[in-house]
Amino acid sequence: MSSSEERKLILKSSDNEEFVVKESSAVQCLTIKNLVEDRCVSDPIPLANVDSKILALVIEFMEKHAETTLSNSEKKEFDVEFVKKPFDDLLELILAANYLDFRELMDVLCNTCAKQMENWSVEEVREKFNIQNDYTVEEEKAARAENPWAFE
Amino acid sequence: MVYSFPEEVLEYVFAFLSSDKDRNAVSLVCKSWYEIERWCRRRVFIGNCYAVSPQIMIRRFPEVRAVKIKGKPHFADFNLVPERWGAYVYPWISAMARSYPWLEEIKLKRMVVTDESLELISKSFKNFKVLSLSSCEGFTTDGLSSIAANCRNLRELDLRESEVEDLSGHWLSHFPDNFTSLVSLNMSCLGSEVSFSALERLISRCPNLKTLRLNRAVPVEKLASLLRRAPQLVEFGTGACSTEIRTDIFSNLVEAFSGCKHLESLSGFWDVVPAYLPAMYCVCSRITKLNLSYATVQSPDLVELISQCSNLKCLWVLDYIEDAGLKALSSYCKDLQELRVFPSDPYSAEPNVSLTEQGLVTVSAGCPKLQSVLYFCRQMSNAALIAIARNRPNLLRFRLCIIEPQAPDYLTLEPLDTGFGAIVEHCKELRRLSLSGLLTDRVFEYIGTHAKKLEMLSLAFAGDSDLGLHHVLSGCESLRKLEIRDCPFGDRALLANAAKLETMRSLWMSSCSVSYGACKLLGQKMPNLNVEVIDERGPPDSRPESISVEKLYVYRTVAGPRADKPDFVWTMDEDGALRFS
Repeated sequence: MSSSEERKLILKSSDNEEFVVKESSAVQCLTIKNLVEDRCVSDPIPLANVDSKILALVIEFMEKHAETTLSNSEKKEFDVEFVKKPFDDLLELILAANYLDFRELMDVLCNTCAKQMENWSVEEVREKFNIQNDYTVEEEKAARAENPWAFE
Repeated sequence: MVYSFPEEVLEYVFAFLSSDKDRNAVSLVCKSWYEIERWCRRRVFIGNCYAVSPQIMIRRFPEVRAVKIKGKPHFADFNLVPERWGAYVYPWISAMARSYPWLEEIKLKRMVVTDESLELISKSFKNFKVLSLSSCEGFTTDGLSSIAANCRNLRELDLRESEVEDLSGHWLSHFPDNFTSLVSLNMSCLGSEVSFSALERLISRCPNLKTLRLNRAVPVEKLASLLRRAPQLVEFGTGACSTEIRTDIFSNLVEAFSGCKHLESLSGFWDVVPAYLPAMYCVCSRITKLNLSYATVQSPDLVELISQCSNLKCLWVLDYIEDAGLKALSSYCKDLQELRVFPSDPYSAEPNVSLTEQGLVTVSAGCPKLQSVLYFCRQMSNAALIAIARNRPNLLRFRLCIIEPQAPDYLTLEPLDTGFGAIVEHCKELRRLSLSGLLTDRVFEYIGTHAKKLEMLSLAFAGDSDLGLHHVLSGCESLRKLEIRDCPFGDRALLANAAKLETMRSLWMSSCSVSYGACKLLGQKMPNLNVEVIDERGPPDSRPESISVEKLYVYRTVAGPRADKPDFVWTMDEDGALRFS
């Protein structure tokens, strides 16, 4: 391999699809960076918790943010478009970014998520995150009283 | 899809939620979210210090770094809340000193703060950074000495509008020589002179200082020296500017201001000699906030200054500006968002300046971004209010103070009902409203029908009957605070809308017609409210039940009746008995 060639890595999604990426982009994910630095890189790197659809999106973001020719405002513009996705996709991306320890992506996604959650009712939050309510009626009533009365 | 969210992911998302309302919503999703959220909540806002106890707050939120607490009701600003009423911060400080060793910020409004509290703050929180005391009282400059001496990482000390017993200016000299972290200092409410050399040295060694609001005692000839040491300032408040004008003082000031390339906000200007104002012209184009409410300067000089401030967003000024000055404002300052016009001589029978409703109408027409208004004047008309409403449907806060109570429309001699009706009908996002002038129950019908986003309403000398109060309580869905003085509102509307009071932060009624009997009934009916009767004539049960109480303060609480009541406050209990503190 000549020294002018970029080192590449192969990432494998949970559904066995393989993606070739530049090592220099991929190390934005600390999980991958640690593997590289510890010389534990297998070929390909299996990512058991990320499916191909989501991994493709992560790689899109990763490569954009690794481009040295882009200005910060250009990257921000890309981010604005990137997060225009259904809420479910955002949640899956957040889980992937957490698993890969990709801080920059986490920040953009969580910020977007929080902004979308503005003024949501409790029921809306439960529905969008698909969470079961395990409060009893009494417990919920007490909690609901305390919140706006004391802490709003 | 069912997600399995690791705790750290949820914490990360919650950290981006900016409002308490949103954090409260996620805390109710399920029990595990409640737990995760309460452990990672770092900022707590308590709108009424008696709605919850420090123990409850600490039990629920163990890792808080910043606390903001409000105490007395707003009408305390008009001396309607008697001395010794309450709102003592000491129990909060002492509880937090034990449980929040990493507390960084305390912001208080209308609370009683003692030197003991300040000393405890200064010694209990090793990483303490921000102390903001807005309209507080009860402490002396000795308390400030403790803060200066012990808070090694202090960034902000803001005493805005607090009443401080000023023993001496020596407190400032207690900041140690190696203290360099100051970012913001507002000492404008203090009377005594601080050591000028100590102030100079403090400013010189704090490179991050962005806000400096001096007190009156710093004379204009000393300002240049301070500004030269802090050219990075963003907000600056002068002291008194009354020294007779001299060329050298003036030219030093011009030079010093021209070195301040980041100034955006100016205040102070006590007794300013108009000839000093041009010294600031070089910074005017960047100024977004200007507080001239202590500048007893006539309209032409004000206009000269304001006409250079093309980026002005917020102006506080005395009525010396007059209609002519407001006209100039509306043509030069197209970005204006907030205007407050204060009365220079509210107690004189005759107007001393030519400021009328016309000034406000002109500003409402010329400033498309205007959203916040506080306006003192002596005459108003329905036509003017209707014009303002049509011009500025984007108004969020509208407080009109016609100086003479119950003054009618000066053109038609009718009540101002239709004028204010137009305001609430057109300004659909209106959150805060203060009424004045001659008003019948009609205006409350309009308010109840249209003011659906209204959160705070202040009334004085308005209405004819209980129907007025009923319209407000039954119609204003978003109402959080209602304060009323000298209105003929009584028992019926209050009792009929008792449940509404649990959806609001508080209700204040003074010099109205609410009987002691009705207060007792309200207390019985609504165990989750504290119904407090304030009466300096002695125990209410020493008078017939039908007699109106002097003052009534009702608020929802999860902390039960308060234990620190003075001898002129009674909480109406569930079983109808009197409770003494």
